[in-house]
Amino acid sequence: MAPILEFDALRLAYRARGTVAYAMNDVSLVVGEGEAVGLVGESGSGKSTLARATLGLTPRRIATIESGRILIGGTDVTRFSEDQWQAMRGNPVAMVFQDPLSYLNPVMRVGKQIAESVRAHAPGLAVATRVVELLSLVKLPAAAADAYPHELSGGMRQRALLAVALGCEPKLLVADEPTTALDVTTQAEILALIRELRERLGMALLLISHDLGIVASACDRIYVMYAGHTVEWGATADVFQRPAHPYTVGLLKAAQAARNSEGRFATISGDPPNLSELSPGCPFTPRCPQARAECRESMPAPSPARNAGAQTLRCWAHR
Amino acid sequence: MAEPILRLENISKSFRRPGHAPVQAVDNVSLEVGRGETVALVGESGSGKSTLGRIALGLLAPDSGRVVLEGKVLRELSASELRQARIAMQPIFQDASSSLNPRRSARELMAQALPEAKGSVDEQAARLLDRVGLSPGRDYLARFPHEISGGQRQRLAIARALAMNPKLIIADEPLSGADVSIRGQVLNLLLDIKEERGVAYLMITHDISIARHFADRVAVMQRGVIVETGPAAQVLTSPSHPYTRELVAAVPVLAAPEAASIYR
Repeated sequence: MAPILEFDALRLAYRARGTVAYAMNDVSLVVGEGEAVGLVGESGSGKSTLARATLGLTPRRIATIESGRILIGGTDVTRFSEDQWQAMRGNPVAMVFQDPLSYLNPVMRVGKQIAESVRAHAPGLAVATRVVELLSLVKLPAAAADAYPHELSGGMRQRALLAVALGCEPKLLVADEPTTALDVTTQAEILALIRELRERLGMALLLISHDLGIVASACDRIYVMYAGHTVEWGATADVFQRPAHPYTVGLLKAAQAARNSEGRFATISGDPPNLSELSPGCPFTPRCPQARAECRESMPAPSPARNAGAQTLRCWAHR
Repeated sequence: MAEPILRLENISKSFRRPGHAPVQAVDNVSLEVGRGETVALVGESGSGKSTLGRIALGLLAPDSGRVVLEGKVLRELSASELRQARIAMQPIFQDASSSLNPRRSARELMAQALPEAKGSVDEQAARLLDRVGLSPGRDYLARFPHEISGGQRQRLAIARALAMNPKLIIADEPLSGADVSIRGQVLNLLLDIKEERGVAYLMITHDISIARHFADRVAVMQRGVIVETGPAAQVLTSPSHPYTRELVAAVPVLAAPEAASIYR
């Protein structure tokens, strides 16, 4: 069976005011049917561009796919028109975002918004019954149907947005930082809900986050992005327990927020690169403790990790 | 015992909105920060931690209670005395891009903060920029906040706070905007500054793991009240209050990676 989502060596550039920024550089990523895949990266890594590209939402005026392909359920959608994309949104691919308030209609009651998505994707159903079902699925009280988005708490809004997304009966849910704006206790509830929904509905998940702990707790497989490249990917246990790429190693150490024997916090020196000034080599080179001459020349092809787990990475130190 | 640098005594603050019941943001809270001590104030949004921070900084007047800075009750000071006293206490905010005037260069931003008549402003400014890792500092003087990265902006904000030679830095979520890979750079800088200058910190944060490893002492706030306080490592490793337990349990655990020895 074809995977629900596939990025094949995708290269996407933003062009504005004479500058070019490669937000995605030779990115390959696969999400199988019913699979939970995590995508981690820091700001500017290209992870949100990838999320938007799964729904054809990168701004056409400035974003160009220069090479590579995007496939959804085996269909090549790379050159889809806006109308063709419109038919893909919601079903088979739906998305939830960090700030539900800006994606919910502020002047429409929540129940009506859920009903709209049900009507658009399953016109035969008894809409009112389905809305009640969806509300209980995301564990919102039935009374939430009559509320406006601003009357709900942050966690309830995210549940409402989930209900709108689920109304489309998606095969893949793309969640871009779905809990970043929430408190930790609410975050734990939303993550538990997403896990439960995935199991009940057999839906695939692409979870995008800068928070490694969240992704580790929710995903079977992980991709790590840095400066528009996927640099390491594999089973969560392999990538997070026995990371191989120097960036992943440094990121995981820094995420512990623990201090070493000298009382120092782990960190990676330097700053993330400017995406409009990328060299042909590996973008992590200036910050990498294992950098060597060939790192400046080119980005190596993917290869299995040495002395680590069964993951794949792009790093000269592992060739 | 020596007078603590900051004493918050029985602080209460409520907010009123027409048509709504008043919200008791801070309810009779007392907290001390000793000289050279690092205290973390943790809690979720709406716990009142930022309100308490703003009251400590004198940006917000409490309904009742006293803010005592180096033994002086802030409310009892004249305007000029207050200005003088507040130099000892400098804020660092989450979002350096909104706390730094975008139309001023690093040189101008630093000059505003540096005491007058103490040698060349450029020289002092460059030295402080060097100190926070914007080196060579001289090269950053002409830069504007939007011309440097987010992490560098936060370091510029720290350099600016240091120019006042504060005894207490009140930092409200100073790392929420920073990427994981550079968070350690900022934390290590704050540790170094503490060592060199004996600065005390009141760090307001929702991040349990940072509070656990950065602070000497922690106070956990929930709905306007401090529910638990004590040594950070102890409170946030084996909490005794049910709310702290819930908070600590909700943080997704990430096991330490193996073979991480390529980094020091």
